[in-house]
Amino acid sequence: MTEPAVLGTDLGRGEERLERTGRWAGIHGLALAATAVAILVGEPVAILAGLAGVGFAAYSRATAAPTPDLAVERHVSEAEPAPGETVRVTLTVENESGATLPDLRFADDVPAGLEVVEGTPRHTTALRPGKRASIAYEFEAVRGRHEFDSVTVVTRDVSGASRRVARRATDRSTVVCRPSYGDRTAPLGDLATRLPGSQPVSATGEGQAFHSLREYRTGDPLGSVDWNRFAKDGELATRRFDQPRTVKVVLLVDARAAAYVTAGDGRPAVDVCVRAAGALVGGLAEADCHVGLAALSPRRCWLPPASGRSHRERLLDALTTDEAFGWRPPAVAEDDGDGGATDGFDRLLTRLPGDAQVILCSPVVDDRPVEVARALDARGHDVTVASPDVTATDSAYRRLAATERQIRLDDCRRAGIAVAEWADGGDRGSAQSRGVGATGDSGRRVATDGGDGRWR
Amino acid sequence: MATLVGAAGAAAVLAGLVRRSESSVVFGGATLFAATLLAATGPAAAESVLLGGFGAVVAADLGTFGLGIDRDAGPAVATTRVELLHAVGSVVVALLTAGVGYVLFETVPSGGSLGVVALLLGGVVLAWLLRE
Repeated sequence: MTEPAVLGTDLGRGEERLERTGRWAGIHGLALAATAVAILVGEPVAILAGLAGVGFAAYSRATAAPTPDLAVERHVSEAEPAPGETVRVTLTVENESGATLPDLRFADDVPAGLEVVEGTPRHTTALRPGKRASIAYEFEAVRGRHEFDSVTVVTRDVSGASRRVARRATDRSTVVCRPSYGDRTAPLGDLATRLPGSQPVSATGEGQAFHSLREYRTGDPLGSVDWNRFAKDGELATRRFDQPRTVKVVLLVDARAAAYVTAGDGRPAVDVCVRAAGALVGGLAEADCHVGLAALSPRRCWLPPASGRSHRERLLDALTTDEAFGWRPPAVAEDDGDGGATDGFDRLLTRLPGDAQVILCSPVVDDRPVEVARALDARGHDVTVASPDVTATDSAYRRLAATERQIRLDDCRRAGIAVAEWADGGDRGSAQSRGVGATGDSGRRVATDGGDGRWR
Repeated sequence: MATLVGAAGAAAVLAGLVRRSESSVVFGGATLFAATLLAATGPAAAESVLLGGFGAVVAADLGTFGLGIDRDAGPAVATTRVELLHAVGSVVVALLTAGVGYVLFETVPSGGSLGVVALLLGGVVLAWLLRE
């Protein structure tokens, strides 16, 4: 007998399953035992006790759990809440099946990532035809697009011997929560496009600031010839200027299943990285960079580098709502055959422009981000690893995880890859965060370090 | 002796209810049933045997059902109706079966052929149930 919260999680939307609960299993044994005793002792009256076995066994077989014909109505108080705002959901279920449902248990399928802070999304009741039952609960809004589209319903027959578990499709209610990401910049390398722009890189050409002199070559524009020098010693020299260029930056967000370590308060590290990437989008777009976005994940997400306000909106929208950055980790089974390379990195390499710099946003909780950064560096891209610190020091295991992360970052630095690291405050926006010190957690858990969002 | 076993069974059911352990309630119900059988061997009245046998099953049934629903539903949810419906179902089945059994047992003279037929019928029902 498992709880309804667990029941039905393996069912797809609209599927249902009839199963026996095993509640009356072995009840026949009573009849057999009583008959045996009666025969052995020679007391016919003992058989009467065994009648209970026969009666209830027949009872448990008499009916199957009814198919619930329910009208489900869901009302969400706010479709576009701010992060941390509580949203009230009211769910009303009406029995339209024309027969009494003696034991109806239903639970709203709350999308992953949302935390119920008030009330409960589950209910147990008996419903006569035409009657309705309703529940209300409140959740706290977090980044992302959250779809409410099904309800898990469990009905039992009156004896409780069989149950029908169903995930009923309901009308879709969508809650979109767009956080403001802020602005933040990261140190960039020198790789630039050929387009003039405003990023100071080590490129020369036309510009304002003097860079150096070199020997005149045929074809150099007359305007750049240093005439003073020609007047002094008769040699032609060409003045070179620092030329600010446009820089293409692709933000690569680590959204593999490994990056879904929860940060003590149930917030996956991916969310911290997405916020970091969002802040970088703002900062880099301010600095006139062409910004693109990619996910290091089996789920595809690719926005080529571009500039402009609408592109910036597109980037932030993708970070907020794209499935690749959702609250449910990608399924590990999405293997494309050659094992290992399931995180879309090969796909990224074919798309990444040769003159693009890469900022890899990753919690660096395993070795893959380091491999990725070094592979990109080897292909000539300037790589910066922007790593929010999601580790904590409240248990030996977590200290070990933090140390391993530092070693990985040091590996990057030794390989000449810039590392920007910051401690991000776990601002899920609530005082409800569960105790960070839950040391009995599974081995993959790392806790967030409290911080003030500063660079270190 | 049977009283002692019965008391132990009742204690197990109560302990299971207090400690919210379904297996303890089931064990208590089985012990109560065993006590009834034990009492039936030193000849007992048909009424008390029926009461003991069905009482044991109903006690275990209601106990485990209540505990299960308590675990499933939150403390704020009123589950009285579901539990009441289940209890009514079980008690009605118990009364019907016990009534039919009692009437047969009392009206059929021992050694008569009708008793054998009823026993056979019960056996057929049991065999049909076991087959599934």
